[in-house]
Amino acid sequence: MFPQDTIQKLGIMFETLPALEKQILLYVEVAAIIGVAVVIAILIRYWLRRSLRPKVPPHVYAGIEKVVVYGIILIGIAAALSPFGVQLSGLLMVGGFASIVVGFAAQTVFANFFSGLLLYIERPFKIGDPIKVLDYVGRVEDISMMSTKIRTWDGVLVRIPNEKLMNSDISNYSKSVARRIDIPIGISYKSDIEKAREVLRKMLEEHPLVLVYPPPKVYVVDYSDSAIVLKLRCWVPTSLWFETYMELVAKVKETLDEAGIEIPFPQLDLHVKEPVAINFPNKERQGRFGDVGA
Amino acid sequence: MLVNNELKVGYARVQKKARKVIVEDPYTREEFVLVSDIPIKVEPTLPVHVPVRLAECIYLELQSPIIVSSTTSFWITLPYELRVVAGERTLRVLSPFKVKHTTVGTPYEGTICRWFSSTVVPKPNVWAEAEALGKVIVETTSTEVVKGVYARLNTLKLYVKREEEKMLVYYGTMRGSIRDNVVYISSVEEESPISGLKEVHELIERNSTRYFRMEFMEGP
Repeated sequence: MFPQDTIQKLGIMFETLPALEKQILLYVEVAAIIGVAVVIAILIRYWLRRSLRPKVPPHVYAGIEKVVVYGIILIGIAAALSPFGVQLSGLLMVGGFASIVVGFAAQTVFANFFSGLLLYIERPFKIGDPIKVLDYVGRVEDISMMSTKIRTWDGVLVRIPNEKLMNSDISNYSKSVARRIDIPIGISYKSDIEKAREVLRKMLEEHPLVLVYPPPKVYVVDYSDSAIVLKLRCWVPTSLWFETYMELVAKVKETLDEAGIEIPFPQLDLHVKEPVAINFPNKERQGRFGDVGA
Repeated sequence: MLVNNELKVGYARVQKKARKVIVEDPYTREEFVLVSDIPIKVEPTLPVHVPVRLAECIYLELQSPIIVSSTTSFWITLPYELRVVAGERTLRVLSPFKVKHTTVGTPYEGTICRWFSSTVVPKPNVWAEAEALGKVIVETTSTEVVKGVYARLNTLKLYVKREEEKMLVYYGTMRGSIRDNVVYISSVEEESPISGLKEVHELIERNSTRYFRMEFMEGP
């Protein structure tokens, strides 16, 4: 585009410029580089606001935007200062070293921060969801950059670091419209199994919150030491799971009592092969119960 | 209004005795004391309130599936609820029928709907039971078996006709198409299904607050 001699002439002109003018040009160059960095930062901020802001909560977005925008401007400034002898590579090396030191020092902070980001991307729960995590069951009250707060059913606010949350099993009770109830119940060996199944099935079918589909079931699961164990299985709306569970558990006994079906308690039949000497310390009792004993 | 101070529809019963109003259905029994002489009236309403407000749709399972081969119409029975009103105030919503719910779709991603075992009625004018009646127009060009009818409750219309001691309840004519043996109601006609009916305007009781409580999601 430019003839070789023109470039050479410009080079000679630049070399022959007075020192002050050179200095001014240098400042212009620095300002131009910083300006370009600022423009790039603004463009990226504009793109982030359009693409990322609708997807993440405001407080998280604010942090991301600051890190990205100021990061680009800082890199721009570092690059612009290179004519003054400030080497970008040196800065990056120092910055990198500092990052490692800070990273080690603030390992937990970063782990929580990135776990928080991953939770936002994966979205295993949202604010208001009833969840079970670690040993806590309750409703999610807040999800922040570093931690998640859960209000347990007994009213305690628990703060769980996001890193811990990310590495734990999370049960979200609101992800299904219906949830199953399983109630095991033992009946005595003398009881009529079919009758027990019938009355319990009818009890489930009568309940307004036990769903028609999937249909409720009552079946034998075990012949245990003291009882024939039946299991009641039904689906109920998730939102009323516990209320229905409480009602059904109470109603099972009522139903079996009405039908004359016994719920046995654990019992043991003891067979004695030879007569056993029983020592009564009280003489009167010894007399009443015979001559057993020493 | 109550005739002879009493109304009994299915399992629901409203009684006015001296200065007491007794309301009962399979899920509730309550007595209210009337300090002044307030008129008590009973209005039909959509089946969404009893025992808790939970479903926004209804699935009517036909006791006997029907076969249709072209665009046709039939009458079916539907449930409704009764709003007991003292003056302007709703005392209680009662269900004349046993209430059941079901999932339409899977238990994980489906919908919880009110469920009702429905009968196809040959002639609506001879129906003597407590259930409401509704006309369903099915649009089809092939032979199909219909096992159920699905409708969004907030799209339905209710009409009432009072005959001496009886209260006849009708739904607005529903129109839908068949998919997987189920008629999905897509629209409800504006005009009354039969003549002489009065449209019911308050279809959902605004004060019914027994929505689910979050703490009941707790597990043992």
